[in-house]
Amino acid sequence: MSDENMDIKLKVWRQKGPTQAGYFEDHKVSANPHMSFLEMLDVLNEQLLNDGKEPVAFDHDCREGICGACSMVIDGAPHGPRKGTTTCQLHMREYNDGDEIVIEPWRAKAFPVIKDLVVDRRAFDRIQQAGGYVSVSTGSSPDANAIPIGKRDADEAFDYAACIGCGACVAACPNASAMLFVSAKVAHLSLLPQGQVERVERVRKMVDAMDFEGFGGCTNHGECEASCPKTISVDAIGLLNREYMRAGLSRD
Amino acid sequence: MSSGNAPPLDRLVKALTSTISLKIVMAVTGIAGAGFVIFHMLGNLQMFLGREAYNTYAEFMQNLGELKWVARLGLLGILFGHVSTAVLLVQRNTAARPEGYYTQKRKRTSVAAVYMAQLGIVLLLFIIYHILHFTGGMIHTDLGYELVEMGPNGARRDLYTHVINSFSNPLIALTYVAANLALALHLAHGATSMFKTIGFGVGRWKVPVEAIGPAFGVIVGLGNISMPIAVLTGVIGAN
Repeated sequence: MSDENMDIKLKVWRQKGPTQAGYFEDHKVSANPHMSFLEMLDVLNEQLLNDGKEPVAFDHDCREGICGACSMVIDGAPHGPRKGTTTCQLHMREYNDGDEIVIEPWRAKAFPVIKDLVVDRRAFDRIQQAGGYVSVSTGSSPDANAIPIGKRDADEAFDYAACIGCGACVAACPNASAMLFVSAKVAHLSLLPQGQVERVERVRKMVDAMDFEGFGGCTNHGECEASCPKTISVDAIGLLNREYMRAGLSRD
Repeated sequence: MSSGNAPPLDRLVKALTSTISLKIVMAVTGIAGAGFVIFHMLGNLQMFLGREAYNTYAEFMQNLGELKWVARLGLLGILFGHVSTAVLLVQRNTAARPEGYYTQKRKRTSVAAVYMAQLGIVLLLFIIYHILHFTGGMIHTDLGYELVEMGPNGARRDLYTHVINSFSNPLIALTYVAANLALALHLAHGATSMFKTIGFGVGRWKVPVEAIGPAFGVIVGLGNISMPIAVLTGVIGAN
């Protein structure tokens, strides 16, 4: 791979505030192939600041793929073209000299734009607060094998627990549905013994909260799984539907 | 927002109008509809067994009496449940993204999945047309809806000739072919989706559930389309 800088054209969404109309702005950046996507945006912002212009606002935090902050749709794909990769872990070596890249925010009613590429994802926090927790005391970390958990349940719960709540599933879904997020949380906790106490109430409260926030519903496109930076399986939604029906049959 | 302390009946109403509950109604009515579609196709494929077999089958169905009306009202109820939940869910889904993307990649979904609602509208219009044509005899009145023949138990309707006359008209035959292509696509996504929605398509059931939709779509599509094509090409009814 070449170490030469590449000329990249950018088409970036600019929006001054939640109530203002947004628009696309064209920019040019000279990017090194070793830069991460966010470092390329840092270069753009330095350029803008030097020209006395407003930098592009974008969310970022850990820059190592575990916090879920770097939410942006790159050329129509949340987190860009690489499977199982967050924006911060995407590198400019994916692109060629002269490429044009379109960058947009997550688009969903429940994720209103705050500024430019930054959206308000507190809807996810409220869903989580509605029931995505275990309130019984689980003590300090138990001795190994003190709480027996089947291998398969442990593996699946771990896979679903990998969700970083970034919202890519909502951004990718043609219906802006949050069901992959909700189902990952519900599946993770309902598969483990510690999650049994609140099992029935959890799924009801989280689905209520999901509907209340104005997310759409699943129509089994599978776009969420394909865009999830943690490659969470869409099977979670099947488990959510099961949990919901199980709760529906319970006596209260 | 949380419903923990609301009265039991309010909680039940809320639970039954949640997105997942509406989806379950759509799935269950979809399963019932798919069951009807395969039954309808198998019955009609008796066209290939000739006039006698087809008219005997038609006579049997016509003579079901009150049971026929129970079935018809049941099917209308299923259709109403399917369409009304579709309207509610499509409204919610559309409202969930007021501002669309400049560009959106489709990595996984299918044509059938993307156009499910549009295919549904085509099918609803076709169902109305189809009932007016074959069930009610209110349109295409010159094609033999009122024909009778003598069967073993006396006079009975000659539906066989009505079907042959109808599908001998290329425009009618092609309408049925087109509508059944839409049906095949709708089933290709729907017959898989309905099992996923009722929580079936996980674990060891994942592969069979993913296969059943496309397989069902192809079988029903080919079966239904074979009839207008067979008439149009003179394979049946040429005598």
